[in-house]
Order: sequence, then structure tokens, then C-alpha cells
Amino acid sequence: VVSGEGKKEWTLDFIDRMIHDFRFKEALRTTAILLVAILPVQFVLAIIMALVLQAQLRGNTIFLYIYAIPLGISDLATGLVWVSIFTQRGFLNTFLQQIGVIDAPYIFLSNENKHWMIVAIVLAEIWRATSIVMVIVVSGLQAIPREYLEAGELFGASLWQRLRHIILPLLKPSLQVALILRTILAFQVFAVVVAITGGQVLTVLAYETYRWYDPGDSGFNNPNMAAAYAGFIMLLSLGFALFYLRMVRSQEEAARE
Amino acid sequence: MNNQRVLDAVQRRAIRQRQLRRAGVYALAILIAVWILLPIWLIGTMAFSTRDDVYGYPKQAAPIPFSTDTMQFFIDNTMRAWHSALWRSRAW
Repeated sequence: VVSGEGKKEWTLDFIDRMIHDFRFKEALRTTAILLVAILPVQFVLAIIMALVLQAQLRGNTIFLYIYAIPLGISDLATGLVWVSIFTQRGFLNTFLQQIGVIDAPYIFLSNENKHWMIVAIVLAEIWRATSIVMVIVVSGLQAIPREYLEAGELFGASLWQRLRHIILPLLKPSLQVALILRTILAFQVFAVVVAITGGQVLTVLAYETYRWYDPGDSGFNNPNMAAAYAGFIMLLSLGFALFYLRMVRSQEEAARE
Repeated sequence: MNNQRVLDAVQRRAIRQRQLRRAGVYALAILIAVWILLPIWLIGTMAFSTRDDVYGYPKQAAPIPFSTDTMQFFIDNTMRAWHSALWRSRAW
């Protein structure tokens, strides 16, 4: 029985049904795990990449182009690339067997190996979406006046000290933008998960939205539930964005006083 | 004279340290580039391998023997769909 059907009135039935759906908690948990596992690594890597680009190496432009390649690759394609690495007859097993770590191909992506699926999704997402953070950080770095860094260097500040006391504080607005963007995108992670897990073993919020909407054989053809999920994702994104904005503003206010 | 020699040594050490650090940054830059390019290389290998090699195990790290069969198959079978998909994806 589909509740609320046919009646033209307000109802919270679908929200209620979503929250009590047996996949809801799992989807929320997996999405949260991915968020926590991906974002910190991504930001550290993006800052390292931006600093490397800032170091004015020879062939700097080439490095910039290479680092930006994942920007142009679709998330489904990325998922498939990483499937070809992690699959039983894939590149990772070939490599591990060649260096003698394993004797026979190990099945990374199976029902019993959910943690390996998480690892594959995390790697794929880090590979795919670190570039966008890097682009934002690079533009933020370029806005930092050279004199500040030179002054720091002149007074004998180590790289870590310059990073901690000059670069990161001045990067804060850029990092905030990147953080909001990446958090929202992390709640929407979909195609990579579909490619790696098939949406059956592990599920995320965006995949549940699609499962409920999907009028095909594997879906439930229920736009109301899909809308409930979509609204929930929007609320989460909104909440996090507000939280980040407030966090930085309250720090600014504290600094002013 | 002695002071000059000490200064030279200090200078040399500073320069060497600088060069070492520079080499480290280059190594890091190349490492990150490899991290980005490796998956693309691997999927490219799959795309240009023979049919047997694509399904075979162990996988090879380079498309040898080189084959355009897979690509040909892809282009032949998707050209029509590709054309209409591109048309539908237009922004106007």
C-alpha cells in the first residue's frame, strides 16, 4: 500500500517512510563515511598540489594541465576506470601477484568486502574531485601577496611555519568555498558508487533517490519517496553550508574583538 | 682568508640544501602526475588491447599487441546513438 496516494493534502507520510526505510540508515552512514574519509585527504592533497604548482618548477604549465585532467572526466567513467583496477581480473591483482604479495587474484569487490568497496570509492573520488579543490586553492594562493611570504622567509620561518601562520589563514576564504562545494558534491556522490558497487552492496543517499524514482525494473517508480530523499539531501547540504559560513564568520568576529 | 673559506662552505651547504629541496619538489610533482595519469593509461590500455587481452588475466601494463578492434567496435556500434546523443545534449 502506498500511503498518501490519491489524496490531495499535505502529508509527512513519505518523510516518515523514508526515515523508517531499511536502506535509509545504511545510505546515510555510507554517505557520512565517504564524506569523512574523502574530504580531509582531498584538501591536504589539493593544498600540496597547489603549493607544488606555486613553486615555479620548470614545466609548471604541463603539471597544471595534468593535474586538471580529472576535471574533464565524467564520474561514471572514473568509476569504471577504478573498477578495472580493483576487479578480480584487474590491474591491482595483476600488480600484487607480480610482486609476489598474493598467489591468486583476490576478490576486492564482493559482498563480504564492503570496506574494500569503500576504499575503491574513496580513491576514485579523491582521484576525480581533488582537481576542483586544487583549482580553487591555486587561485587563492595567487591572491596572497608575495611580500608576506618573502617576509616570512627572510625572518627564517620554516615551510611549516609559513604554511601555518601565513598561507592557511589567508587561504581561509578559498578553503571555505571549496569546503562548501565539496561537501555538497559529496552528498550527491552517485555514479562512482553505481560503477563500483552496482548499487546493491553499498548504497548512498543519491542512489536511494534514484532507486525510488527509477521507473525501470530495478527501481520502485515512486516519485514521492524520491522527492523525500532529494529534499533530505538538500537540507543536509544547506545545513552544512550554513555551518561552514557561520564558523568562519564567528572566527572573524572573534578576531575583530 | 680563513673566514672566506668558512663562508664558502656555509654557502655551498645552503646551495646544496636548496638543490636537494628543489629535487624533492620535482619528485613530488612527478609522483602526483603519475597518480593522475596512471588510471588513464590503464583504461587506455584496455581500450587498445585485443579482445582476448581485455578479458584476460594477468592484465598487461601496455597495449601489446596494439589493436583498434575495441575502438572500431565502439565507433561502429555507437556512431548513430552518439550522433543523436550529441544532438540532444546541445545547449540551445
